[in-house]
Amino acid sequence: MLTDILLILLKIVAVVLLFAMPIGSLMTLLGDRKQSSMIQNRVGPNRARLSIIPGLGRLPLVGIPHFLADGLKMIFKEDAIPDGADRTWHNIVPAMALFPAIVMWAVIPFHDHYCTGEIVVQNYRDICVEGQTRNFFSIANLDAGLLYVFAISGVSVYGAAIAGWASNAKYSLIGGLRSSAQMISYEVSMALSVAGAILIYGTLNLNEMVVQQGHLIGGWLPMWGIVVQPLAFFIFLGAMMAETKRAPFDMPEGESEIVAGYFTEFSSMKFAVIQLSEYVATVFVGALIATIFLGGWQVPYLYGDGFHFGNTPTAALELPYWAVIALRIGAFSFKTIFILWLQFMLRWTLPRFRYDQVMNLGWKIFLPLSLANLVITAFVVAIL
Amino acid sequence: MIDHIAILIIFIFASILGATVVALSVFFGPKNPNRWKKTVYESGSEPFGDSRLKLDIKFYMIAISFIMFDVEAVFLIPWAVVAKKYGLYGFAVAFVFITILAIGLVYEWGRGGLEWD
Amino acid sequence: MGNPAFDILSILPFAVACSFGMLILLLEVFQRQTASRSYLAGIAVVGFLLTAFVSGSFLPTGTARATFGGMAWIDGYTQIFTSLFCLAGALTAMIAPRYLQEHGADRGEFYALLLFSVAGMIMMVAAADLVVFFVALEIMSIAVYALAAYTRRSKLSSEAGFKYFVLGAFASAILLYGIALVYGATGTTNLAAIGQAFGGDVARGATGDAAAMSTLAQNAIVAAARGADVSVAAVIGNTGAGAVPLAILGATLILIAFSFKIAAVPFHMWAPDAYTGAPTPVVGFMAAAVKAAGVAALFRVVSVALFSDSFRGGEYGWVQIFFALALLSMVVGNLVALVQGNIKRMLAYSSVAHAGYMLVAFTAVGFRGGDISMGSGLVFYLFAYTIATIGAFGVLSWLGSRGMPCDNFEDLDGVGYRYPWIGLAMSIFMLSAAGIPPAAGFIGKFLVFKSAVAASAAGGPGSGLLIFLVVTGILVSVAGVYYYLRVIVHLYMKKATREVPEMPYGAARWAIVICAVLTLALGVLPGKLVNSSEQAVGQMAGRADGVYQQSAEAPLPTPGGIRLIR
Repeated sequence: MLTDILLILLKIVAVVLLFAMPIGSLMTLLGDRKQSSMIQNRVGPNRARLSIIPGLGRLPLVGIPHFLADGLKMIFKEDAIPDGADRTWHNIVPAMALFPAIVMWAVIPFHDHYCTGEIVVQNYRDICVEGQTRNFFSIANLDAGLLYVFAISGVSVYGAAIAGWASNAKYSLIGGLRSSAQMISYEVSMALSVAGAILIYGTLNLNEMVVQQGHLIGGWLPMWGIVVQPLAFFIFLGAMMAETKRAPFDMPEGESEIVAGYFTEFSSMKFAVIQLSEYVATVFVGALIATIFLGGWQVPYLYGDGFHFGNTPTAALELPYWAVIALRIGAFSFKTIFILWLQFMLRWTLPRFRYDQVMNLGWKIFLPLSLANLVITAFVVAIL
Repeated sequence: MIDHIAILIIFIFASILGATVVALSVFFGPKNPNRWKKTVYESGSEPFGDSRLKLDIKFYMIAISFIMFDVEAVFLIPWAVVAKKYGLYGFAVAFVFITILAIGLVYEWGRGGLEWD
Repeated sequence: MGNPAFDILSILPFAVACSFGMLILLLEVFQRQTASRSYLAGIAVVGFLLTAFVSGSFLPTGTARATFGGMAWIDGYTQIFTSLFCLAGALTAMIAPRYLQEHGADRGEFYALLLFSVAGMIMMVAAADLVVFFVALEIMSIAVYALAAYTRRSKLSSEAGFKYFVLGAFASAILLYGIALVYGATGTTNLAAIGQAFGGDVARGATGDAAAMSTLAQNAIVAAARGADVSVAAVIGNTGAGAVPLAILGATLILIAFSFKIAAVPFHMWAPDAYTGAPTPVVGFMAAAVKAAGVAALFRVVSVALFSDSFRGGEYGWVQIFFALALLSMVVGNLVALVQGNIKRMLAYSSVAHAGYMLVAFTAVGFRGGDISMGSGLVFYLFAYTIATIGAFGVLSWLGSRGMPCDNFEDLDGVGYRYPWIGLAMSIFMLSAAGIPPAAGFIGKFLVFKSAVAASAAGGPGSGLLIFLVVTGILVSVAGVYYYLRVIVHLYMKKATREVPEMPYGAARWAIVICAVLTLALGVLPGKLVNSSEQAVGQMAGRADGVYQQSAEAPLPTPGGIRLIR
């Protein structure tokens, strides 16, 4: 029991502090600043130096020291709470915003269950014989995994809404309202578009979904979600981007209209935490889309004992188990970062929507499309 | 069981992490508030009027629509999990359900319930 | 059970009503704002007729069947009330267009809501399970709340809708709580299973464990023999003796919620204000169809779930509750109606009084000497009452126009000479409501009081009280004649004051004529309807069937008035 709990703690630290947070924070730098500067033909951050470490004192390191300096700076800033604000909620809200962004990671599988015995590949599945399977690569293997994600992402509305209300400021209130309306609008299309994928996999367990995506249609085409549910993929990507309030859906914090939206009145680490939670949530979007639509940890043709081309029991190219695991985790990280990169490209190449356009997109385009997608998928599944 | 304990542990972990990070600035940050720091930001002018604005009715409309269609999703997701087992009959039943809600959407759309302006 | 074809067929009336509602919504959305919506009323009428037709012809008559795994019953009782609700809905849809055009509320949603609420009523009467029943009740109620506030520019209408909504929601909450308690006590929401569980549990509380165990075992065997789900019987066996107070509290809460819905004193407070403010055609629908649905469903619940001997009579019996409700409703409704100056208000109190008369039938049924088939008078009464009420409100809405509502007695002055047919129809409705012979209301009252007298004639403790109830009912209905005749006095003995502008859409007059003809026809030739009401109640599926016929011969009751064999 104790070892189980220690293992869980280890997994949490590994996932949150070594995967989600670093990628999320690095994004602030590489995505928000360096990539944007490249797109806009600027230099971007290049002044901060890591002069403590010998040998790095003179190097700009593509601006990475900037992000460390930013974090340090935030800690030493004054925490100003405006008059008339609800102090209790003002203090709690940053933690409330961070909470769902971290907790959601609990169900993301980084790899299939570890098999202590021998692996036999049958019908595009790894079957563990003469051994146990151990859940080393996801924090919790919930059968209701996807419902858990929806539940927690529903909770994340509260952070923004309460932040807007607690600040006692007009910009904040408008930002909070806009963000809650936008998030609940897109939650509908999010859930309905992914229902098509659930229909095909027949499960809500994320790891099982990924396992099923190892199937090869006709022996050569990986049955990834994006292959069987292309429309759902795009709707889900759009809805998730709107959920995280990232540009071009960044109406709740539109700088040119309402300063910084619901966190206008937050300073110092509170501001940093809200920003950080947004970035972590953005990484999570990448991980979730990779899991549901891009085959998760699957590498095409790679199974537990090596590469198989077609439905064959023996591997065409045998690999040791640790190499398979490394390849798969690498593939998962690559897919996650690819979706992140895609989000940033969208962010810097699309103009921001007007608020009515955001709402129209959600209710008049995404919702009917996801309903139609669901009906067509259900019909095809029913007659097959 | 262990999976649910894991969920509990990550809940605690996330709460502690959030509280710690927010507390950092309380310990390390300076404390010298003045009147101008404590007023809310309204593009540089003096704040006027009540900050708790009246909410636009459109937000309520969005909220009501959300309730309707999210409940639809709540019913459709369990169906989607088991839909393969029930074949065409299950599809027909769900189709009736989706059609009714689609008619609701068409009606709301036609009545201008989804118009933002 | 478990026959999908029959399942689909059995909800066809419900589905037809809902489909027409949705069709009307779509037609309403896709047409110009300025166009007249009167044709939608025609579509609604077609929908109602089709619903009644489907219910009457596609389903085998004379057989009672449970559908959807015992969630609803399709039997004669469901069918006769389906036709009543469809009739009420169709008449309201014919009356409404003129009123809606006059009041600038000519929108198609009215007819859609009407169809939805009728669909809810059908499902409510068919319900064999408290959950289905609750959902159906909400489908009906929510549509009617919206209808009550339909002319939304009018403050009175908004007030009516709001009051109706708040008190209705309150009643729903009470009902739900009652259902939860009953579920806690019996472990089931199925009406028939609750009926069995109540018999067994009260027996356990009264006669000790040994006897109770044998009762429960017998119940289980009987249930299994009837083809019921045996697990239900097993669940009943598991309920403890502590469940008795829970069950009683739950059943009482359910009865209270129903009393709200049918506006029985002392739960009638919402009725006068809601009836005064709501659009007049809607008031007719509310007072007639909604009340009829409530009474019909209550009768089903009472005779299926709560009919065990010790539960209706005896120490905990609900027959006392019904006695008090009936007495209060008749007396208060009639006496307060005497002093009203506003006709809609007067009719509201008169509908409270009518609820009292209907509850007399419940009291008779629940009485020790009573039996379920005595409820057939109730079915006839509901028909007579519904048609006359819709007709009366139809006349009021036909006479009223924007800025010149027909609300007070003075507004009827001279109408009898200016519009002879309308005046004659209104007189017939008033005579029917007062219970004066040529009209249907007389037969209804006669049957209801007759059942009470018959129940008291069967003897038993308290039969004198039942006679007292009947005598009180007759006395206050004589008092009621005063205010009904007052309408006729104003119609014929005052000078004419008003002109009704001609409207192109004359269906309202036809609806009034249909109501008047039906009222007279049912009054003169009641035989057929009386027969079919008896048949309907006789065919009511799941009723605690034959308890009384059997018990008349069997050497029962055991000491304490508990019957062990059902």
